[in-house]
Amino acid sequence: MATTAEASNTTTGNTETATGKMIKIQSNDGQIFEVDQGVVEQSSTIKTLSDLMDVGDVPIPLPNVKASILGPIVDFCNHHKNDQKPEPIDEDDDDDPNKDIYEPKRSDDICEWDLNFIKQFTVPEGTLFDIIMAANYLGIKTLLAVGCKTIANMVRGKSSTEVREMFNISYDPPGEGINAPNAIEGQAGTVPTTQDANATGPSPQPDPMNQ
Amino acid sequence: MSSICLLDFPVEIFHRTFDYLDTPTIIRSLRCVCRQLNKIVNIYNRYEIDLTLFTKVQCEFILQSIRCENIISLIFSADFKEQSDKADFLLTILNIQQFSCLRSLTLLHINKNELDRFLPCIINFSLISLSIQLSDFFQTASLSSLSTAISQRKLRKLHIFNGHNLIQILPWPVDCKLNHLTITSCTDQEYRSILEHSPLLRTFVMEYCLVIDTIPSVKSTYLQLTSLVMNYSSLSFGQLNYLLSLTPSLVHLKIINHTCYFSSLFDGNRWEELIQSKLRLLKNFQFCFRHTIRKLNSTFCTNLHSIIKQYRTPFWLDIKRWFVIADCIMRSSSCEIILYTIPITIGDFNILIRCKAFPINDLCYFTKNFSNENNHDIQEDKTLIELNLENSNKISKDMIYLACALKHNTTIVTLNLNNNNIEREGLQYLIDALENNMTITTLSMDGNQIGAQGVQHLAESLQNNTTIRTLSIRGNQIGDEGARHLSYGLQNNRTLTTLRISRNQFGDEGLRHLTNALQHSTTLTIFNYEDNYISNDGIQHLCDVFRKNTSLHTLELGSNQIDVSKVQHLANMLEDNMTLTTLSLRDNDLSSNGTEYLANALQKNTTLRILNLRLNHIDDNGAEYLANAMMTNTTLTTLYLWNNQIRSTGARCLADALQKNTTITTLDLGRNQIGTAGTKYLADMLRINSTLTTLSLWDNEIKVKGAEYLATALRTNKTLTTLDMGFNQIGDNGEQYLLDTLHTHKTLITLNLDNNPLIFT
Repeated sequence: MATTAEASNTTTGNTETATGKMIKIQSNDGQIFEVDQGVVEQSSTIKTLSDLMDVGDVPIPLPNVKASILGPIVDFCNHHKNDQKPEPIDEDDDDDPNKDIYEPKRSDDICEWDLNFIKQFTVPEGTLFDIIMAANYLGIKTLLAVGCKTIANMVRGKSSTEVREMFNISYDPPGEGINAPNAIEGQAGTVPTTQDANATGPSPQPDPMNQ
Repeated sequence: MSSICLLDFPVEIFHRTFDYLDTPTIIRSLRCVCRQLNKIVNIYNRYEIDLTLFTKVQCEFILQSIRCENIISLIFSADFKEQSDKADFLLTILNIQQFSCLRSLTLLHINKNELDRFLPCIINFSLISLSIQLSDFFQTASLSSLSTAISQRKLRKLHIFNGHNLIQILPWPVDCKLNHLTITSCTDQEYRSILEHSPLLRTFVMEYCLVIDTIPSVKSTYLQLTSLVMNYSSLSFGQLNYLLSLTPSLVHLKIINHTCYFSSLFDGNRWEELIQSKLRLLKNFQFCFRHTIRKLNSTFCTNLHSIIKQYRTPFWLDIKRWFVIADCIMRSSSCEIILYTIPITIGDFNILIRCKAFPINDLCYFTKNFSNENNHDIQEDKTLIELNLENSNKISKDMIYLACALKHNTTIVTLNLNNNNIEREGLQYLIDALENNMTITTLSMDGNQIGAQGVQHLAESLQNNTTIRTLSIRGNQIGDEGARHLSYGLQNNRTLTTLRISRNQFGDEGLRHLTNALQHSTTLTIFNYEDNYISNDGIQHLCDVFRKNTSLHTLELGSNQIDVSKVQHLANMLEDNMTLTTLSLRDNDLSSNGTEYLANALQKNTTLRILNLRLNHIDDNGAEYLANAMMTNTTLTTLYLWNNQIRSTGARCLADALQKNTTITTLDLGRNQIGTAGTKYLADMLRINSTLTTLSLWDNEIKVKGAEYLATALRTNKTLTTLDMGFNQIGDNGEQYLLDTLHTHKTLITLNLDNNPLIFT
């Protein structure tokens, strides 16, 4: 029944009673944001800090997040605070009888609002990494999932070279010969042998996945 | 500008990202990007590998590349022959390697043998989830090994597909830790037994449950179950009531039920009572009840409003917020009522009638869009202009649903109910629905069983109706008595322009009533009265009407046994009639003698444009009479002579006439015997004529030579657009002649060369 307009209205009604208490959070560059309980609930970090500190009017410092990232995060949480929460069922979290057992974890299910939201963060500027790191630090599961799915969608089916170019990663072969970039790309199944003795990988061979 | 890059991510973010990626991308690409990613990939330990996607060699590569203890989920399928190698390979690997973290195993399309080989391995793992899709039915074989697997300490989820009657041969372990079970089917006894021995079972999904004998009383309840899904059951309300009483803690319930128990299952009050007394914790209730109304066994008679009304109580709308929709689907063999909660997906249908239990209103309306979203923005009912339910076996009971939706419809202009089984009772529902309708202008009900009494009601409603302009009730066993009622209705109607009442067993008396009505009508323009019997007197009466009436312009009198003597009356009338533009006399017995009367009349008539004389035993003489008329007549544009006995001589007369005539645009000479010779005359005519656009010569034994004549003539003709040369034994050469002309003769748009088998002459 989540799709009915009426259903979401009731949820709004519930949060309004919970929004009474506003909390201030402060970015590492000093900007203060005021957020309601609906936003706090989505971030395990802010929730824990606010419970611990019970600071009243003193802003909670978030030393790992700058204002240019924290602002959009507050927007994100404000947009999602009325989402229907998954049924709180103990230990086993995927008890949904409608869920297909064969279905792998999907990354094509990002909703349109989230797609547009994540678009403002890019790889060249590094802001995409910033928002994912911040989501991780703040413990915002939904945003972290959107970020990880976005990265997954970017690299799916790409070659090593393409991934390197996409993220500006320099290739660091430990030796010469077959580990040189050209040789490696010709044999995608191989791994760069690192000096780390623990790193294991198959010896160079034709790539069966290309068949 | 940020200072961080991808490689600054902590390992857990990478691993989270890998969770959304396919195995090849991880082990082929990401592993080779750089040393750091190589390390991160090597310690990733949540691989979910779908082996069905890969060949055996690829599987080997994957399983060599990944340490077995890093795999948490495996999907394997023995679907194809070549996969038996894979099964052996996988079994070897499973036996040798330590899949110490494997939590989920899915085995698709496996047979009993393979399952027996897999199960010992399975018992060694600490699986949480096991899914098995069986490829064959196990009738007798005991599945005790599977039973051991189920009793595994850690197993929480079990899915078994395609196992009809599986539970019969599967000894259920005395105590299992399952909390999620999916099976195909079980009996009510087996259902109770499973619940009895599965104290942690919270979710039970099945296709259907069979309640075999009389419903037992509820002796004990099973409080552990919170979710129950039945996707394809066919239970009565009593049986469902019993099963649901066993599990009073249900929070989720989904039932898709197709049943013949109509009235009780659809009864919202009963459900309300059941849920309030026995399922007090139920929060999410999805259902879809389907019932097909067939001709014979339908005893239940209601409409969508009365069903949906029970779901408009505060319990459904305000407390539970479960919104229910009732659809009525019109099919050719039956009519199906579907009652369901939204959102639920039940399929796709062409035209259906819908009634929603929303607080706003409970109007029935037509919709083509099958959408179960509660989206008020979609104007589902704004599209339907023509409703065609021809041949859909509507019976009186279905008409209730149709009538409900018609009552409030303001878009349908054409309603076609041809060839159903609508009787007087069904017609009455329709008449009631149309009482205030202001949009339907065409009502077509050919081939039903309205009868004399039905037509009486229809006629009464016609007296006041000012919307319907075309009424077609051919083949309805109306009879002379019905004709009397109909004429009564017509006398006061000022809207109807077209009346089609062929095939209605009207005799002399019936026609007399109808001609009386026609005499007074000032609006009727098209009168279709085919396949009834018309006597000499009858046709005289009819012709008298046409002398006075000035609105009727089309008269269709096919299949009425009109012969030489009767056609004289028509011919006399035509001589000075100034309104009739179309006359169809197809399938009568005019012969050439009767045609002579008509031809003479055509020399004087200046109004008739279309004359249909198909199938009238007209020979060369008749063709000559008509040809003579065409020399002087300058109004007739279309002449149908299909299926007569015109030969080359007749064709010559017609061809000669058409050399002078400048009004005829369509000549249909199909199914005559004009032959190659006759075709030559027509070909010569085509060189000169510049009016004819359509010429049909289907089945006239024209042969190759005739085709050549036509092809040559067409090089000079600049007006013909359609030439039908089908079934004429013109051979490949003949076809080629004609096809060649298409290059030069740019006006010819349609050339029919069907059925021209090559013959050797």
